[in-house]
Amino acid sequence: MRWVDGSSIEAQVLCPSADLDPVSILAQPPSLPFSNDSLAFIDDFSSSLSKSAAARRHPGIMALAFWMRRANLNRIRSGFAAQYAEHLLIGRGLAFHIAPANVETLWVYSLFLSLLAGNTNIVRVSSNATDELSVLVGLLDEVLARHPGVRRRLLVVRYGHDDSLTAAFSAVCDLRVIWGGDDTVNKIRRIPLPPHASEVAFPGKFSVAVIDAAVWNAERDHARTARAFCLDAFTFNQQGCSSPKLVYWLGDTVARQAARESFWKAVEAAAPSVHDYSFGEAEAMTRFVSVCSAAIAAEGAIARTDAASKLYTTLSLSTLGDIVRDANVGHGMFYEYGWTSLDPLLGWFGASDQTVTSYGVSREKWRTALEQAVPRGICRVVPFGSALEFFPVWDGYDLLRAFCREVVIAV
Amino acid sequence: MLDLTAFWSSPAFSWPAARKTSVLVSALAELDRHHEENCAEYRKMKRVLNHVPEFRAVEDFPFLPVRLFKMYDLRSAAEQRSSKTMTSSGTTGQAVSRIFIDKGTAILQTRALAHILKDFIGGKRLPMIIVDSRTILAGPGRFSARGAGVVGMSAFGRDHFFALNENMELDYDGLSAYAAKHSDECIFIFGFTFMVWRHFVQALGSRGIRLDIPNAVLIHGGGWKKLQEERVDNDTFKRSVSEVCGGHVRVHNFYGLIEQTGSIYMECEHGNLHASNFSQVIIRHPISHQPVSYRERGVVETVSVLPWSYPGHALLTEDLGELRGEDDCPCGRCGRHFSIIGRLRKAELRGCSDTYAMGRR
Repeated sequence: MRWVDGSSIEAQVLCPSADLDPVSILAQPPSLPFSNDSLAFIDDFSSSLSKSAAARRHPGIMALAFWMRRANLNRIRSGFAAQYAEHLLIGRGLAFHIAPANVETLWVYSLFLSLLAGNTNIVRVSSNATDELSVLVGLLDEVLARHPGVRRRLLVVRYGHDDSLTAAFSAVCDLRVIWGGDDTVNKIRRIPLPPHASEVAFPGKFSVAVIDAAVWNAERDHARTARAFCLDAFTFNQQGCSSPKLVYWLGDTVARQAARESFWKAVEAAAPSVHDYSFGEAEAMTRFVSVCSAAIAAEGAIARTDAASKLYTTLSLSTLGDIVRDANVGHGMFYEYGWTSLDPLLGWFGASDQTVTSYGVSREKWRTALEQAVPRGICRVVPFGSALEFFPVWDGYDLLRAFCREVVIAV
Repeated sequence: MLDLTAFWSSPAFSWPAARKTSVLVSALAELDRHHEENCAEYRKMKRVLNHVPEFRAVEDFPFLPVRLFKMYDLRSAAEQRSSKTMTSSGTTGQAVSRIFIDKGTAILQTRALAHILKDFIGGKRLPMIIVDSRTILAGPGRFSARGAGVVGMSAFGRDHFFALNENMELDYDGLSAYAAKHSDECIFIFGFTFMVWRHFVQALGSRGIRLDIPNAVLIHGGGWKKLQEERVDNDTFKRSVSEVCGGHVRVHNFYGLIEQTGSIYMECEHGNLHASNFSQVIIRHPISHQPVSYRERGVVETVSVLPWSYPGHALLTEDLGELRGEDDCPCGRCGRHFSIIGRLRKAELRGCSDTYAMGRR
């Protein structure tokens, strides 16, 4: 594509498909949040997605369509309006989003929230050509043709591992949004931004499932809860930031022991319903290596249990301090720890912990516990089955708010 | 140090299954105990290897994934002045294995290699052509697997001739002169599979040169990955070697890990890779890692009695293979024989796993 300085750069423009003049994109002024044309566009895109047979093949795209349906957007909009009624918020300008490789829909959430915030956008999507990506880009292009106002505010590009392109896009943006692991964030942070620009980064995270053993033991529908856990844990091969990698058992020893046994049995029965879990030869080897790494790191006791089907391996620890978060690379490996209260967990939470998927612990209990412990990490507590659901408040950022600039008028 | 007297006093491929199992089980029990006492990481890992409490078969012993040697410095002996760390050659950007070898282990490796090779090239030193450059030996600091291989094998040759210059170009004139000088002798040619193919077979072939060394024996190893990419199989390889050497030369491939230097698996005249008395091969189910039977595809575990200074006596490799038989190869050698089929693919990176940085891995 031709770049603003007249040079030609090696980025493939996926969307819009024709007549691109990057200068016209860069020249777009920011707008107020929730402009009518951005809402109309997203609405149109959402209904196109729902109608597309190709899109229906992908549960991730269906979740996206569900999230961007009009009722939900209205809820987000009125929440935003209520919260910031007295504030003047304006889009920051040009947002440059760097999307992760393998959560194929995440870039659309990032892009649309930024569009709603009033920004113009450049998105760098992964160079992995997946079916999800081509479906999304194809439909996006089709719908944009009907929305010329939005069409000038959005550019989806793809390129290989080329820092000079990331530098070119970074040099002109007002906001950089980095989704990826720690290495990605570190690498991109070395690439300069204009002094006034801001950055929101989403590095690697670790997540935990908490189960109240007594509640589980009294539960009548084990299958449903186990299915929800499987969805959280096994989607993306347990490699999402929000995929639980530690199962924390709350309760006394007797209750915990009974619960553990029936829980993992129910999980093994429910797991085949998760279609996005592939455990093959390479994954078995990688899990084996992780198990060894975890054992090397564990100073206290450690005990391994394998599912008969090899679906998962659990490592029971005698202290949470023995967990090396990076050593668990997913593929069905779970640390386990149990205690009579949440205290050890609250004390252990660190800066890179993100989501608690909670079963049997009430909202009030979490609120009180977190207020008392004030941990460095943990940004969400959600019920089983919601770990991978996208929330507009992510990793502690209200994304819409972070994508806006606030003008204080104090006269 | 393990007492290997029984091993030295028997030919390297001489023990039938029952005898071999009983010798290996007691040797491995001692190795397992030694590493447990002297390597903290091994001791810690044993807690999760879920092995049977009593070792009756070689299959019963705990084994480690070989990848760990790229992640940790695993050692079971104190650093000495004579000890060294051997590294795999690994392409740029890839993690390399680091193997800690003390003097005692190094001696065992050399002796075992000699013992195994004797079965194929006899005990006499042969004039030797090394299909590599002399510079491979000069590398300061780290001790590379390729250099170690050349040094190890050189012990079986005399009047060594390095066939490549520092730019990996074949020294045609030197080679022709050397071939003429030793034309009536058995010449031992050694090199890494791909080097032999690219810098010897193809280099000679492209110039239409035929050496007149029909009594040569070629021993090569290091993996078929690059040759598979060029669609060159073992038969083609052997035929092409014979063509450029001017006769039906004996060609023996070997399979071995840098993590188990010395106890290599030699390919016999019938194309089978053989476990010697020093080693055992176990094929495991690719997902459950339980042993599988003959002719079943699985992940290759290699067992060796040599590793004393590091816990590498039982390693699950990332190679795929199948057992072909035991004590029944038409070549007459005892022990299990097997073939290598390929390599395990890499586990997929998914979810929020590192994307931008992925290209560098």
